[in-house]
Amino acid sequence: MREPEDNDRHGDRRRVLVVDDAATVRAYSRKVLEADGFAVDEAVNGIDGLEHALANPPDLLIVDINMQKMDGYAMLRRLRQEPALRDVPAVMISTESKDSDRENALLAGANWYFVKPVRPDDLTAAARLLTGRGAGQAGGQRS
Amino acid sequence: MSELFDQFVLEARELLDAAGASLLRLERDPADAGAINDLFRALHTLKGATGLFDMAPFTRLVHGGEDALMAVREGRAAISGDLADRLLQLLDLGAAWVDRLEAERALPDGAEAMAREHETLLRAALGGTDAGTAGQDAAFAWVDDLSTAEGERLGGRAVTAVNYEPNADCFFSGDDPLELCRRIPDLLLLRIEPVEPWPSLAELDPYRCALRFRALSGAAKPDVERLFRSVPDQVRIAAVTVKTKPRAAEPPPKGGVEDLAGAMLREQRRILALSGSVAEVEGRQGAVVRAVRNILTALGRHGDAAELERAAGNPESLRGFIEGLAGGVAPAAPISPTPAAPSAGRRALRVDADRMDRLMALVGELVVAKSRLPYLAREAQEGQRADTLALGIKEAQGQIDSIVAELQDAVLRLRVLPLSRVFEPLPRLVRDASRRLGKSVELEMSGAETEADKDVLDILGEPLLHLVRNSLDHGVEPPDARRAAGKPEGAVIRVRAFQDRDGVVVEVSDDGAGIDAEAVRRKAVERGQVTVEQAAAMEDADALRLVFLPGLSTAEGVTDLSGRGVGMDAVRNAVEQAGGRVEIASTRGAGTTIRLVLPATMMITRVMVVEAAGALYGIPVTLVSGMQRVPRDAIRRVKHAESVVLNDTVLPLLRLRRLLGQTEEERVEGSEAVLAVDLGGHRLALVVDAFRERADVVLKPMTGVLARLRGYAGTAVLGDGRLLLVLNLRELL
Repeated sequence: MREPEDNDRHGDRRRVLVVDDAATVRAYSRKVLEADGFAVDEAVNGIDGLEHALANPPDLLIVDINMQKMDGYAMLRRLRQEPALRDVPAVMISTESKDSDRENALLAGANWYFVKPVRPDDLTAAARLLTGRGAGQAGGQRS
Repeated sequence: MSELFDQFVLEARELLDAAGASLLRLERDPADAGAINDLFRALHTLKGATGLFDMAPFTRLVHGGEDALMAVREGRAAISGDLADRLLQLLDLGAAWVDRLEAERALPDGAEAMAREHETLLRAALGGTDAGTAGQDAAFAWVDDLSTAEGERLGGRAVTAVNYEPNADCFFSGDDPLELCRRIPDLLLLRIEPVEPWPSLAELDPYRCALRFRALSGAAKPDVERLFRSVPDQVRIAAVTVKTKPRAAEPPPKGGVEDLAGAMLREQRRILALSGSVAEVEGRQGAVVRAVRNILTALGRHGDAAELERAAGNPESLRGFIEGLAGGVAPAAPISPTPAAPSAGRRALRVDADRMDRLMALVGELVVAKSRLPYLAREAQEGQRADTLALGIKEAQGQIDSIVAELQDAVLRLRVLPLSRVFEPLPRLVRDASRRLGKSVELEMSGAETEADKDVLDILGEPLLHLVRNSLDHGVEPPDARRAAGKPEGAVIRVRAFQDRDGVVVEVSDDGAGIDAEAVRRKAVERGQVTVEQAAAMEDADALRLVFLPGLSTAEGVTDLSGRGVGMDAVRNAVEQAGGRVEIASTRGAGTTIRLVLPATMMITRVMVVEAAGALYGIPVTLVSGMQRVPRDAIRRVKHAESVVLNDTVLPLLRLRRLLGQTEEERVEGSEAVLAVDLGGHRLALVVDAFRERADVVLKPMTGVLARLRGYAGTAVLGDGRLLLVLNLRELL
C-alpha cells in the first residue's frame, strides 16, 4: 500500500516540463515519468520551453542542451532571471560526459546533470527528489 | 516500449533524411554555416535517440559522423568530396540499420565492426590519422567483435587473422575459396559472409562469388600466407590478439535513492560556490534552496527542511548547512542504457492532426445518424404508416449519405502526401551520378509540395528515379561535348510537379543532347517493331514515343547507371497501370522533356456515364468540359471529317460508336448528344447515344487478356450493379 505522501496533500500531480528537440527522448521521458505519477509537459526548444514554463509553471524542468533556436544553457539562464520561475529546480541532460559540460550546465542554472541516456529509475528518482515527493518508494516504479 | 521504438524509427528516418539534405547543401556551398549546424544537430539528436536503446554500435556510428563535423565546424578540416562521400555512406548505413531495426528489432551482426570501420575511414578522410594503418585496424575490427562464446574460447590468444575476399569471377580462374579456407592450418574460426546483402533469387548470379571469408588460425602468419600465395591481391593477413571478452555484462548495481540524494546535495553545495554576476548567483541560489528543500522533504527529513529555512537567509550559513547535510554519502550510481523491448512494427504513415480530427468528428456524426435506424425499425414493427416511414428512412439515408461522402473524402485525404517524398532521393542521385560520370549537373526541383495519393506516390517513385538517371546518363553530354556545342558546361535537370485538371503532373527535363528521332526510327525498324514505311510516315513526335517500346534505346553504350534502356518501357507501364500517361518531347541538341501525368488518387474516379450501342461507358469527368444536345444540321462535314461549333469554338467531332467499332444507327431524333472533351490542350466533341448520370466509381484495371485492349482505363461497377467500361480516350483516338 502507498503511504499518503506529504506532497500529495493537494491531490494534483507534480508537473515536469521536458524540453528536448528529439521526439524520441521526449516520448521516453514522458513515458517513464507518467508511469511514476508525474504530469508531463513537452517543449521542443528553449523558447518553446520558456513559453510553456511561463504559461504553466512546472515543479521541475528537464532540459536538453543542444537545441535549435535557443539551447538549454540560454534557456536556463533566462529562466533563472524570471521572478516566477527562478527557483524551479532543473535537470540538464546531454550526451556529453565531459566535466566541462557538467560545469557549464550548473553555471547556467541547472541543479543536476545527467548524461544521456538516463535510466528510468534514475530519472524518476531525481524527479521525486527534486520535486519533494515520495520518500517511501522513491526510485521504484509502479507498474 | 514499442511505441517509443516506433517513434525512434520514425524520427531516425527523418533525421537521416534531414542530415542527407544538409550535407548536399554543405557540399555545394562549404561555407554554409547553417548547413553544417543543421547537419550536426540532426546527427546529435539522432545520437541522443539511439542512446535510449540497446544499440551502442549505432551511437558509435553517429558519434563518428558528429566528430568529423565538429572538426569541420571548428575549421580543423574542410568539407571535401571524399569526406562528403564518407558521410553519405554513413547516413546510408544508418538508414539501412533503421530498416533493419524496424524489421528485426536488432542491428545486424558485426554492426560494431562496421561502425568502427566508418569511424576510421572518416578519420582518414579528415586527414587526421594515417589512412593505411587505420584501414588495417578497421579491416580486422571484426576480431574484437566475436560472440561471447568465441571470445571466451579464444580470448587473449595471439592468432593470425585472415580477411579473404575472393574476386567475384574467381570461379572462372579455378579458385575454390571454401576449400582454400578449409586448408588453413590450425583453423580456429571461419566465418562466411555475403559481401553485400543477398539479392533476390531472380537476380542472383550463381557464377559469381558473393562471399567473403574471415578466419582465425593458431598457425603463424607466414604459414597462412603461404597457403594464400595464389591470391595475394584478394587476401589480407595479420597477426592479432583476441581481446579478452568481459563476461556478459550484469545489470549495474542500482544506486540507492540515498546515494543519488547525497550526490545531489553535494552538487547543490558546488553550485553555491560557482561564480557569476549578482543576478546569476541569486538566481542559482533560489533554485538550490528549493531543490534542497524538496530533496529533504522527499527523504522525509522534515526537521532538516525547517532548519534550511533558517539558514537560507545567508549564503554562507546556507553553504555550511548543505555541507553538513551532504557529508559522507556515496557517489551516485553509474548510468546505463535501457534495452528496448521487441514488438511487431509496421511502416508508419504520418498524418496531419487536423485531418485525423476531421475523420474522428465524422465518425462521431455517423454514429449519431446510425442511431436513428433502430428507432425506425421499431416504428415499422409497430405498424407505422408506410409513407411516414418512407419519409423517415429517406431522411436518415440522406444524412448517412452525406456523412459517408464526407468520410470518404476525409479518408482519401489521409492518404494524400506531398511529392517531396519521392523528390527526396533525387539530389543525392544526381550528386553521386554526376560525380561518377564526370558531368556537372545542377538539379532544379519545384512543386515538391504538390500532393497526391500515397499509392500514386509509391508508383511514381521508381519511374521518376529512372527518368532522372536516364537524363544524367544519356541526356546530359560530357562537359567537353557541351562546350563544343556552345552550351554551358554545367547542365540542368529540372524536375517539376504540379496539379492540373488531369491529376498530378511530374516533368523531368534536361538541356542535354536531345533524342535523335531518326535514330529511334532506325532502331525500331531494326528490331522489327515497325516497318520501314510506318517509320517513314511517322511524325517526329510519334517516332519519339517509340522509345517507350520494350527494349528500345538509342544509347550505344550500356552503363551501370541506367542499364539498357529497358527502363523507359517500365516507366510507361507503371504509369499507365496507375491510370496515367507518359508524354515525351525532345529537340535535338536542346534537350528532352518527359512528362508523367497521374491521377491524383487511384481509389475513386468520378466519371460521366454515357451510352453507346446499348452499353454504358464512363469518361473521367476531369476530361469533360461540357455537354449539350446539338441539332444535326449544326454539324458540318468536310469530306470524312466532321466538326461542330461549341461555345464559339470549332471542334473536330468524333462519334463514340465509330471509335468503338460499332455501326452507326439511323435515328429519327433531330439532335445529337455531344460531349465537349479536353485532352490536355487537345479539344474535341464526342457524339454519344445518350447522357447518363455522373458517378463515383472504384476503377479496376483490366486484367487477363482484356489488359491488352487499348482504349480502356478499366472497369467499374455502378451502384445498381451494372458494369461500366471506363474509356481511355487518348488511346482510343
